[in-house]
Amino acid sequence: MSNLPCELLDHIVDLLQESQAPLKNCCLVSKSWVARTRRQLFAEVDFETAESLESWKKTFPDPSTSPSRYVKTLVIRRPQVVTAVDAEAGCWVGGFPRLVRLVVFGRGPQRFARGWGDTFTLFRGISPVIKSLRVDFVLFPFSQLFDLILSFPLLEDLSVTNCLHFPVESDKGSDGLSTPAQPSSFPVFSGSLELDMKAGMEHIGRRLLSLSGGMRFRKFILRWTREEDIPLTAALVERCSRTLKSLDITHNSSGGTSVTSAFAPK
Amino acid sequence: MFDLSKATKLEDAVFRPGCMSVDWITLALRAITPEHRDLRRISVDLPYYLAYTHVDGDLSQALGEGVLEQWLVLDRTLAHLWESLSIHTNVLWPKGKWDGIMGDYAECLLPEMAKRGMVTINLIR
Repeated sequence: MSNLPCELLDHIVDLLQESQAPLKNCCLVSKSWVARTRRQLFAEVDFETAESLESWKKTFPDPSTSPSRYVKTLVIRRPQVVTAVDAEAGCWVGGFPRLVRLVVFGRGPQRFARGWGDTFTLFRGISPVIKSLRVDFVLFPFSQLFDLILSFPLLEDLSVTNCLHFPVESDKGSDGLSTPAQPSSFPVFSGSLELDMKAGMEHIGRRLLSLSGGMRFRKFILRWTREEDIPLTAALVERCSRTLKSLDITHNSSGGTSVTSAFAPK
Repeated sequence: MFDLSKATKLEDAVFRPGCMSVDWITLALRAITPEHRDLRRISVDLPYYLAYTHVDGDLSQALGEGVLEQWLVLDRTLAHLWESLSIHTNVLWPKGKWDGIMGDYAECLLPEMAKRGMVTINLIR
């Protein structure tokens, strides 16, 4: 076995990526197998509960030797717990330098909502190679969310679902819809955009449209409920019409007239 | 306002009318031209609320005045796209005990397409 080329051994382990038990056994073959096996074993980490996060922290107390560098997809379901852990352990979140996909769910009592802005700040620029961001929040401070989005220059896929705007201090004095200052760089935005905003998509939609850099999304999954979102939906589709390959539009409103006019050819 | 006429790289489009009106779908599809060479499939969701609607054969009663006519216009538009540009239509609805009822509705709402076998019915979970 030791005479086999490394590429071949890597390929054998790669084929086991969906099978946790064999991967764990591979980890015990020899020291030389640990790294290639961990790359698969820890490719996706889902902190479903506060306990799972605590368990990770206890098992891998030293970030420099922890398998966090192998993590490509990180799922956070208790952002307030992550914020607390990071404050306690000191820049714990920074230990995931090769993250490609970040998923953050922010469900829970409204009393946590004010702290979610800290969560967005915490994850800002967490990894320079992030290509996919999914945010599913009941309440969110939209300005911080957008700062988070813009902190990933290679971002291709963006999904923002189930969100309600939750104003924070920095949002006071404006309706949140005025044109923000242009950032120095823009994400790539060349993959998919999913927006599902039951309470309206104007906060995120207008911010996206305000970017002077080009959006080149190839896939849209847009669900709107409010009539006010129809022109925004139309504008987003028009902005990316040159690159769009896949379109999935859901209309949940009971109104019909303005929907019709939004899609009317010029 | 915009139309899909500039989206010439479009490969597939899914429309999910959760409400009564489907006029907006017809208008969007009317912008499709021979320049949309890559567009091969259009999918239309049947509103799931139909599954819970008992109409005793009177579909216009379930959909509301004028809405059945909108579906028939959409039916003709989809048939035209199939005949002129070979764009196939999928009709989708959630898998469940109401499959039979929804199949009947699909034939009523898109009669031309169903009669000529130009529509594929797909159940989605």
